[in-house]
Amino acid sequence: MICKNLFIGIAISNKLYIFFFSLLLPSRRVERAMDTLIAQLQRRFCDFTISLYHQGFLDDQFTELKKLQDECSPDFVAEVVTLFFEDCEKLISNMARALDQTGNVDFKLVGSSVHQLKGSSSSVGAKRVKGLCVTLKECCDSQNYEGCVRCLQQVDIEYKTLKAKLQDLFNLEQQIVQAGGRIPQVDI
Amino acid sequence: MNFEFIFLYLFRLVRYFLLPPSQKRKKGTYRFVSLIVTWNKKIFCKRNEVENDPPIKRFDIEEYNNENIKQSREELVAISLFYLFISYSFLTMAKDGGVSCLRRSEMIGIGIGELESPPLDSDQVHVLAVDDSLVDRIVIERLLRITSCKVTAVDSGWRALEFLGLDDDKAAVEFDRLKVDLIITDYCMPGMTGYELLKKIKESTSFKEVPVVIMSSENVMTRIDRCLEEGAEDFLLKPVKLADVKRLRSYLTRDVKVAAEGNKRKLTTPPPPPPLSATSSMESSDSTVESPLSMVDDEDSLTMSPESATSLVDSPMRSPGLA
Repeated sequence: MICKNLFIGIAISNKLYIFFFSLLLPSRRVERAMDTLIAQLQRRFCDFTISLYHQGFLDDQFTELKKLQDECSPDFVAEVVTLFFEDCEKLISNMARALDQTGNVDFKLVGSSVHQLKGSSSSVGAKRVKGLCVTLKECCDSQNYEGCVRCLQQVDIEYKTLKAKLQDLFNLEQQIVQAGGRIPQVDI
Repeated sequence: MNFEFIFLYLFRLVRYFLLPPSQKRKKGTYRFVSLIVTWNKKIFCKRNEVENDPPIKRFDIEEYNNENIKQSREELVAISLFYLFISYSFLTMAKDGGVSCLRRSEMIGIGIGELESPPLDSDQVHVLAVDDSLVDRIVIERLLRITSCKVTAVDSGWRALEFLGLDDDKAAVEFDRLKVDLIITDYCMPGMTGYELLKKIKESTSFKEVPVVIMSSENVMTRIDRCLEEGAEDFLLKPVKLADVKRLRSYLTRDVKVAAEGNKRKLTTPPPPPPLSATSSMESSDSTVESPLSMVDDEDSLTMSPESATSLVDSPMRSPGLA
């Protein structure tokens, strides 16, 4: 509003710095386009989140984590999830190294790593990863080498898939915030 | 709103007074109009009406220079007024937003990776969280912070004992000991398990009364029973939810308040009888004093009592599906 009046004042004076003010002034059409863009992004965000829950990637604990996020720490979920994936990588590489020692595989080490991974995945709400950890623990307890190797591969694939999906989710959130919208509350 | 109109007219006034008198009508608002008029004349008027065109002026260097200087001076004044106005408008807009910006910068300090809690406030509850997994530590720390507790998170039982000052086996020194209101620990930890940590805390003299809560991802009854027998306040199943922490907080503040008052009764018991006057008989005073005393015997310890033991054992089994 302020800029609009200035615009008129300077247009009347017929000086050349009119060009600079026209850039500051957002037109109504642009605002309406932004609103539809925000609505589209929000709808996509809701659909994506719901699909993640239905496909079994995430569970209630993820909702609980979202509850802990507020204006004081707006990136809480993103940071926890990043730490979880780093932890995942470290534990999986430890287990792979232990299983590589053909002949004397330290199943106790693999068992403790799996236990830690199961704990972190349940704290974050990564349902599929946790399920696979349970099967891996069983294979480990029964000292089934082939089963362990197969399970570990599956865990690796699964956590990478989840990482990509959550990255998409956070990108969507960022897009909504940048477009000036509010991240919607999704009820599962 | 009114300020903008004032500015508009101020601007025009300035222009009007800065211009030399001879050019007041020719320049400015009328320049564009005169331009259109001359174009129209050229398009629509006949050729022989050439005398309507303005006469060709002889080029005068002094007048040219003066005109340019005055134009630039005029522009300078206009630009400076504009910037003054813009800065004023931004200052008025930023006045309300300024405070929240400051607050946000303060909050950045309380980051996610920080394990140091800010200086202790005697009113706030101080919790010591022990867990070997970084993710669990972060989550429990956030859960506790959200319920307005000061949190110190450590990654092993040994670190916890070091923090409490119990790692040396010498007798407890009577210095200003650290105020810890609750200890929450994971069961399965490499090195020292949660059970051993619990035993060590209950063996110490200074931290015996501090309630200890054990967390575990497995719902094993024998484990739960063992911990509760040893003196644990509660047993939580992982993953820990906000509701669990809120429940802990609620009976923690009650216990803290009760301990602070010096008597060990829970708030559910009726309040002590009003102070009796000196003329009351001994029998009546005895009877009224006796009943609270009997209640005190039943609920003497802060940690355990028969009826609360059963209720605490029931509570870990509320979600069997989480194991």
